[in-house]
Amino acid sequence: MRNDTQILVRVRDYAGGFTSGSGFTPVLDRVSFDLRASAITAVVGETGSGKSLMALSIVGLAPSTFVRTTGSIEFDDVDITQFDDRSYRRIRGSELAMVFQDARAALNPVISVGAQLIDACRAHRKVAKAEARDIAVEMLRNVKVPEPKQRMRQFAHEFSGGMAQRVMLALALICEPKLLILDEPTTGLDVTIQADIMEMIVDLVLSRGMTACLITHDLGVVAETCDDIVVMHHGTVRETGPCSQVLAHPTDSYTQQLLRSSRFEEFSA
Amino acid sequence: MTRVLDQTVEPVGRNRSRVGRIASALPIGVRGIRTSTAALPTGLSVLGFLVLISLTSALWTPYSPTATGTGPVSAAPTGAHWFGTDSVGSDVFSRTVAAGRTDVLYTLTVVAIALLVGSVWGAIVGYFGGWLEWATLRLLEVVQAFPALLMVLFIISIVGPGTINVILVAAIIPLPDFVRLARAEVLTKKNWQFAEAARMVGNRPMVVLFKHLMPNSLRPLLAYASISAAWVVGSIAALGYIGLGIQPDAVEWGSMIARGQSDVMAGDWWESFFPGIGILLLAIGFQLVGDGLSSHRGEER
Amino acid sequence: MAVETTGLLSLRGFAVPGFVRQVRRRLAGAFLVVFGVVTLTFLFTRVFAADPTTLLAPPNATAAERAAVRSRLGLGDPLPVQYFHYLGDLLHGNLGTSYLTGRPVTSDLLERLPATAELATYALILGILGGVTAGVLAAVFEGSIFDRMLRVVTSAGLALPQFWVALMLLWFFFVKFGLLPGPTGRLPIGMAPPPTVTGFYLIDSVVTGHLSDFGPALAQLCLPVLTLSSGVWAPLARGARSAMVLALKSDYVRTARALGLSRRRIWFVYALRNALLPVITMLAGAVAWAFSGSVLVEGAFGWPGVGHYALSALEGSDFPAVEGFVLYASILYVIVYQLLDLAYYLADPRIRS
Repeated sequence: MRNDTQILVRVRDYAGGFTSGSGFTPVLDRVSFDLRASAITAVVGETGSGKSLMALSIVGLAPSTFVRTTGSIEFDDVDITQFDDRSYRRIRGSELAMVFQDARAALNPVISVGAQLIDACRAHRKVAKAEARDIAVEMLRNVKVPEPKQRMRQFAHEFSGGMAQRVMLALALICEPKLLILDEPTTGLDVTIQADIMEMIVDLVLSRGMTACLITHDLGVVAETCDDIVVMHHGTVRETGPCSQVLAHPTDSYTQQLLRSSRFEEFSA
Repeated sequence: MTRVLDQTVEPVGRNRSRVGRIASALPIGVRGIRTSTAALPTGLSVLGFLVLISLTSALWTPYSPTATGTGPVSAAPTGAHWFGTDSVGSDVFSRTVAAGRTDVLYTLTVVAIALLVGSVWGAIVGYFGGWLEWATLRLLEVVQAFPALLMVLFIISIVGPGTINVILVAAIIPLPDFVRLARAEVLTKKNWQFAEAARMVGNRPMVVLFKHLMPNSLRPLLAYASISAAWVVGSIAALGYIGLGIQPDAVEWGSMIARGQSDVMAGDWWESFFPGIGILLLAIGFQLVGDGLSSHRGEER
Repeated sequence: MAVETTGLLSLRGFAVPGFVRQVRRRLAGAFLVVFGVVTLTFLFTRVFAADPTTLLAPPNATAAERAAVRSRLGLGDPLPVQYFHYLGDLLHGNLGTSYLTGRPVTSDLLERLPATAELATYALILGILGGVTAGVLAAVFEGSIFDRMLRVVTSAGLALPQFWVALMLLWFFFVKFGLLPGPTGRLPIGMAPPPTVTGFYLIDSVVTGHLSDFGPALAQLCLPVLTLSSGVWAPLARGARSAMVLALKSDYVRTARALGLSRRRIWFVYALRNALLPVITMLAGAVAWAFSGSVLVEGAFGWPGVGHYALSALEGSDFPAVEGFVLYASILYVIVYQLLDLAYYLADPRIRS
C-alpha cells in the first residue's frame, strides 16, 4: 500500500484534435488525470479512445496534424505544454521515456542495436564511448538479454519480438528517467512472453522507484500489476482512481460495461 | 460521440516545430508522401486542355500548319503571329498546336500498347510462375540493359521507318516496367481472400486473374501509365528531333525544334522555344495525373 | 572484427558474411545478361533484318561489294556458325569496322570515351550531390516553400527534353548574351588540348602545368554539364525526397525522438542512412544514362564523345558503329548495375541474413 501523495504528472483539461484539409476533428476532450510518483498507472480504453495520443502528447510526440486547443500537462511541477522542441529533447530520454508497441519496427534497421543504445546513453550523459558501451551491455543484462556483448552488434531484424521489446526497454531506461510510458508493450507477443516481459517491467520500475504509465486494453494485466487506473473512452476520461477501488466498485457506466465485457469478474478474487 | 468543441482552433503552445506549424497551416494534407491532392484535377485539366486544342487544331488555328508565306519570314512573335514565323513563313503558333496532335496521338498509342501488352503478360507470368516467369524476367533484364533511345533507333534502322513501326518499337521501352508492375500486383494479391474465394467458387484461373485480380490493380497501372507517358512524350520528340523514324519536316514538336535549330543559333529563338514548352506542358500534365492517381492510393492506408 | 556500426557511411567492409558468394552471384548474373544482350543484338542484325548486307555493308555498296561482304562475314553460313564467329569476334574486342571512319569501331569508341567520361563524371557529381541534397532538405522541411518549389522544378526537369534545354541554354548564354562559348566541343576552335594523362582536360591541364587550357576547357564544359546533370538531378531529388520523408515518418525515427537524440543525429544518421538505400538503386540508372544517354546532348554541343559518334553513325547508316555503341552501352549498364547492387548488399544489413 503506497501512501505518498506526490504527483509526478498532472494532466488538466487537455483537449485537442486533428487538422486536415477538411477542417478540425476534435479527438481529446478535457482529459484530466494524475500520475502518482513511484506508482504504476494504467490507462485503459478501447482502440480510438485517445489513450495513445494522450501518451504521445505527454512526451511531445503527437503527430504534426494534432493541435492542442486547451489544457496543460505538468511534469514535475513544470508546464511542459509550453515547451519548444529543444526543451522537450532535453527531457526526453533523461526525465521521461516511452516504449512503443511494435519493438522491431521501432528500432532502426540499419544501425546496430549497440550503437543505438550508446547513442541513447550519450544523448544525455557526458560519457566516453567505451564507458557508454559498458553501460549499454549492463543495461541489456538488466533486461535479461542473453549474451549481451554479442547482441550489441546485431540488428533489429535478428531479434525476436520479445527480445526486441527488451532492447526497447533498455533504450528507454538507459538514462534512468523518472517516468516510463509504455504503449501496449506486450500486444502482439506470445502469451508466455507477455507475462515474462510484464514481470520484468514491473521489477525494473519498482526497483528504481520509477513512475510508470501503462497503456493497455488488457484488464488482467492491470489488475495484477497496477496501482491506479484511468479509464478513457472516445477521448474523455470516464473514471480514475486506485485499481483496487475502481475494478471492484466501478461507478461509471462505461467502466462497468468494460469490466463486464472482459469478464473481469472471473479474475477478481 | 465526442462533444464538438466550439473554441477557435489555434496551434497553441510552442512545443510544435516551425515545420509542423507551417505544414498544418497550409490548406493541404501532410499525410502520405504527396502533399498535394490537387494533383489529379490539375493534371487532368492541363491534359484535357492540351488534347482538346491540339486535336481540334485544324478547326480553329489562324493558319494552316503547312502553309508557307503566311507572313514575314522568321519574324518574332507579334499580335498577328503569336509565336512568330519560321524561315519559310509558316505560323509557328498554328504549327505548334497542330504538332501537339501528332505527339499526343503517338504518345497515347505507345503507352496504350505497352500498358495492355505489358499488363497481360505480367499478370499471366505472375499468376502462373514457373519457367515462363523466369524466362520473362531474364528477357526484361536484357531488354532494359539497352540504352532506350538508341535501341529504338537501332531497331528502326533495321526494320525500316513508318508510323506503325515507330509506335511498336517505341512501346518496347515502357513495356518491361508494366510487366514488372502487373506481376508485382498479382503476386501480392493472388493469395488474398477475395482471390481465394473466386477460386473456390470454381472459376478458371484466367477468369480469376482477369475478372477478379486485375481490376483491383487498375489504379496503380494507370498511375504508372501516366507517369511513363510523360517520358514517352520526350522520346517521341527525340525521334522527331533526330529525324529518324519520324520525318524531318513532320508537324511534330521534336521535328520543329530541329528545324528551327539553325535559326535559334542565329538568334531567332521562337521557332524552337514554343514546341519545347508544348512538350513540357504535356509531360507535366501526365506527371500530375500520375502523381494524383498514386497519391490517392497512398492515402487509402 | 566487426564493431557496432553507426555514422553515415560505415559499410562493414569485407568481413561481411557471404560477400564472396555475393560477388560470384553477381558476376554470374552479369554474365548472363551480357550474354543475352549480345545474343539479342546478333538476332537483330542477322535474323530480323531482311537482308543483313544492307546493314553490314556500306549504304552505297554495289551488288558485288555486298556479295563480298556476305562471304567475308559468312552471312550465308548456318546461324549457329555465324553466332559462334560473332561471339569469337566480340571476345577479341572486335566490334567491326566503321564505314564513316574506316577504323575499327572499338578504337573509335575508346578514342572518344574520355570526352564522354569527363562530361558524364562532372554531370554525375553535380547531379547526385545536388539532387540528393535537395531532396533530403525538401523532406526535412516538408511542406515548406522550398519543398513545393522543388517539386515544381523537378517536374519540369523530368518533363523537359534535353535537346531543347541544350538549345535554349545555348541561345541564352551564347547567342544572346555571349557569356559562354558556343558548341565547338571541348575546346575553342584552334586550341590544342593539354597532354594526355587522364583524358580529362580539366585534370590534365592542371597536372601537366598547362594552366592556360583550364579556363577555356571549363567554359566549354559549363553548358553541357548543366544540361546533362538536369537529367540526373531531377529523378534523384524526387527519389531522395520520398525516401527521406518515409524515413522521417518511420517508427524508428519516432523512437529516436522519444529518446531525446539531437535533430542533427536523427536527420543525418537515423533517417538518412535508411533513406540512402533506395537512392543507391537509383544511381545505376543515373550513371548508365550519363554515360550512354547523352547522345543528343553531345550532338547539340558538338561534343566529341561516344554519344556523338553513335548519332553520326545513325544518321550516316554506319551500322557497325551503331551496333558497337549499343553493345558498349548495354554492357556498361550491366556492370554498373551489378556494382551498385553489391553496394546495396553491403549497406543494408537486412539483406545479409
